[in-house]
Parts: sequence; structure tokens; C-alpha cells
Amino acid sequence: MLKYQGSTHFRQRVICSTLSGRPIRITNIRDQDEKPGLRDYEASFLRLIDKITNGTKIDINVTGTTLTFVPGIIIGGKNISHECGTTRGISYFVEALICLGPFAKVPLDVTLNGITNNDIDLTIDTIRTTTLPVIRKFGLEEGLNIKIIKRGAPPNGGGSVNFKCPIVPSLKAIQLVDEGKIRRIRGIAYATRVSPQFPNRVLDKAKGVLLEFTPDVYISSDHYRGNESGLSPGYGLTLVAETTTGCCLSAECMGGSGEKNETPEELGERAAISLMEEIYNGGCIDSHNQSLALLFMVLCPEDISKIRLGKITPYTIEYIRNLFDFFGVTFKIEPDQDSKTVVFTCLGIGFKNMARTTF
Amino acid sequence: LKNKKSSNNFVNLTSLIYGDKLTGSSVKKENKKQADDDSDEELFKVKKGGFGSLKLQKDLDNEDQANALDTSKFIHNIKETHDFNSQDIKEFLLSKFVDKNELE
Repeated sequence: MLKYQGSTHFRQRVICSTLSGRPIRITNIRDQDEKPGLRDYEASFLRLIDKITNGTKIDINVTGTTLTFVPGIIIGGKNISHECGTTRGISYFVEALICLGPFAKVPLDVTLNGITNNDIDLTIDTIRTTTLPVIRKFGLEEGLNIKIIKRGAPPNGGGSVNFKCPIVPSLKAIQLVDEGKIRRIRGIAYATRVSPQFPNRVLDKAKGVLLEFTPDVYISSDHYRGNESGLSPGYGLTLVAETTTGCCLSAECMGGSGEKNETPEELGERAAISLMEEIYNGGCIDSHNQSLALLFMVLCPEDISKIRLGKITPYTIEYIRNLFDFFGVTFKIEPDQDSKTVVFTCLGIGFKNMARTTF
Repeated sequence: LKNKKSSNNFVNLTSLIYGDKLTGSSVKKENKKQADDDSDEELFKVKKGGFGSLKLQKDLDNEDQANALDTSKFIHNIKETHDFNSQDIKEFLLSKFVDKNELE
């Protein structure tokens, strides 16, 4: 049993534990905090894991400061529904399902209710436009889909998302080292329960910044009203830069939650600058999806996988450490000083979907 | 660690990321991080300049900040901001785009 302390990287550890089949014990979860123990969204996350697995044992002590997690088999299934709450976005849960879904017994079809777009987690648009293309490269092609049924902004949410994930016997090793050049930029400016002028103002400003670099910029406006608009007002912008080699780099900003005194124009500019930062950092995979790509590289057949990443994030660093703990895989890490990127190489562990009924 | 730092601020990423795990002693990194020792202090100084975000690993000691780290979007809050009006940076960025003439 692997033992950890503290609440950090809770999701990573549960995901790695489920995939590797190694039990974990996490102690001292916020034991010095005024409200000690697991948060509501972490408990909700464990409930979701329990729904898509069979035989998982979850023991939490009375104060919630100690968790013992013994993983079961991922079974997947249809017509699964989950309330994600309003503390974290739906993407917090979808990111985990993306990691686990391909190795389930039957394809996963889950409807998640809560917040689709917030400023803490990735928005569901970014997951759809950049994360799904990344995992398609590993051999998951047909049947992988995210459908936004309703949008839900913080604080009350009210959004709904359907996520479908196919199963695979094993993944495909990848070689992704050529970043190529940015050939076009696409985006979605969305709004719920606010004037349709808001997304238009956001996209006008963002487009103004981006057109200095490339003429091929197209940002669509997506305004939700009525039942599809969730329970709270909000608006935001998601941008994706596509390269000549098929890589996608993304950035996003969300406004309207009332915490920031920011005009739509300022938000548009902030999103455009965030995308420039991503492009400046380089790599074939953007900062949001680094950890997912590294996990799938580890789970690949016994073959060499290689990817080029830009500036690696603290989240990714911890993920690499967890991958070593759970799977015993060490990456060869080579900084490329000319492009200021890092090339990660590893030998896959030959992970096979043993839960699958037919081969 | 200081000796491993190269002239252009690139550090030995493998040893920074894996720490002592690869040398046989599999002391849990998590516990090490929470122990606020001097060697960690050095570790974070070295990281400045190269992969700037690495220095923020130090922040993991703080439980609340560490919890905030549990999202890949955290990069937006800690990124180094560049002045995109600067000519050098603008030229570097433009070099990453397909030439406008090629598009036409």
C-alpha cells in the first residue's frame, strides 16, 4: 500500500491507484485546517469513482482526515448520472473519466450536472477542443464525444454535459516532437443569462490582438438562453491555436462571476494574451494536457513514446512523481535549449484492458 | 545541485523532478516536501530563470495553495507574464506562425 500525507494531488493519486490496482492510504488531509478533512468535491469525486467501478473499497475516518482507497475494476456503463456540485467544475470530474474510461469493461456514457465553465478548472469547451484531440492520438477515435446539453456558470451551475468514451484493448504509442507552425486560431465566445452583446465584445477585442499574428482567426459566438442557460449569468472565451502538424494549444478566460471587476474587452485581451503565452512556451501539447499525455505514454504498449512539451507545470511535475510511484516508469527528460522545450521519452508498461469481456 | 546548473539556466530536470527516488532511497517525496529543510531552499533558488514555474513547487508546503495546484489550469495563475509589445518577443512569436504570404 502506498502512503501519502496531505490533500495535495488527491485526484492524481486516486486515478493512478485505480489504473495500477495499488491501494493507497492518505493521512493528515487538512488536519490543521479549521474545516479538517475531505472537501465536498473530493467526496463527490470518490462517489463518481465508486459508480464506474466494481469492488472499490473506500474507508474514510470520522473526521475525514484519513482515506484508505482499495481500487476495484473499472466497469463503465450507460445511463450513469452524477451531481458534481457547485464547488468545482464538471471538468474536474471529466478529466478523471478520460483517464479511466478507455480501460472500462463496457463503454462509458455519463451525464454530469454542475458548472460547465468556471475560472478554477478547465472549461468543458477546452476539454472538447484540445483534450479529446490529444487522446485520439493514442488510438481512441470512434465513439469519443462530449456534448454540452446545458451551460452552467458559477455560483449556481445548472449545466449538464454528456460524456461518452469508448474502450480499447490497449493504447497506441506516439511520437509527437514536431510542433510545426501555427496555421490558424479558432475560438468560442459563450454567454449564459447575459446580453448577447457580451460575447461579441469579448471576441472583437481578442480578434484584434490575434490578427496581428495571423489573418486566419475565426471566433464564433455561442449565446445560450432559456432552459439551456443554467442558473447563473456568465460569459467567457476559449481559444485554440492549431499547428501545421495537428497540435492544438489552448487558452481560456471566464468572466461574469462578479469577483473580478473586468470588462468584456479586458477579458478578451486577457484570453488572447494567455494564448500567446501558450504559444510562447511551445511544445506539441499545451500546459493543460501535459499530465494526461504523460499518463497515456506510460500506459502504452511496450514501445517508445516521445513528446515535446513546453514549460512544464507544477501539476505535471507531481504527476511524473506519482507515475514513478505507481507504475515504476522513469521518463528520459531532455531540455531542448534552442526551442526552450523539453522532450519526454518513456517505454510503455504494456497496459492492457483486462476488464474488457472480449479481445 | 548548483554544480548541475548549466550556463543558460537549464538545470538537470531529471534529478529535480525525481529527487532521490532514482538513487535507491524511495523516501516519499511528499514527506520531504513538507519538511522545510535547507536543501529544498537551495533547490528552489536554482530553478529561477530556467523553467520558472518549478520554483513554485515550494508553495506545496502550504496546504491551501497546494490544493489549488490540483488543477491543470493553475498554470494561468503562476505563469510568467511577457510583454508582448516588446519587439524581441513579438518577433519570436511571429516566427512560430505560418508566414502570412504562405497562407495567401
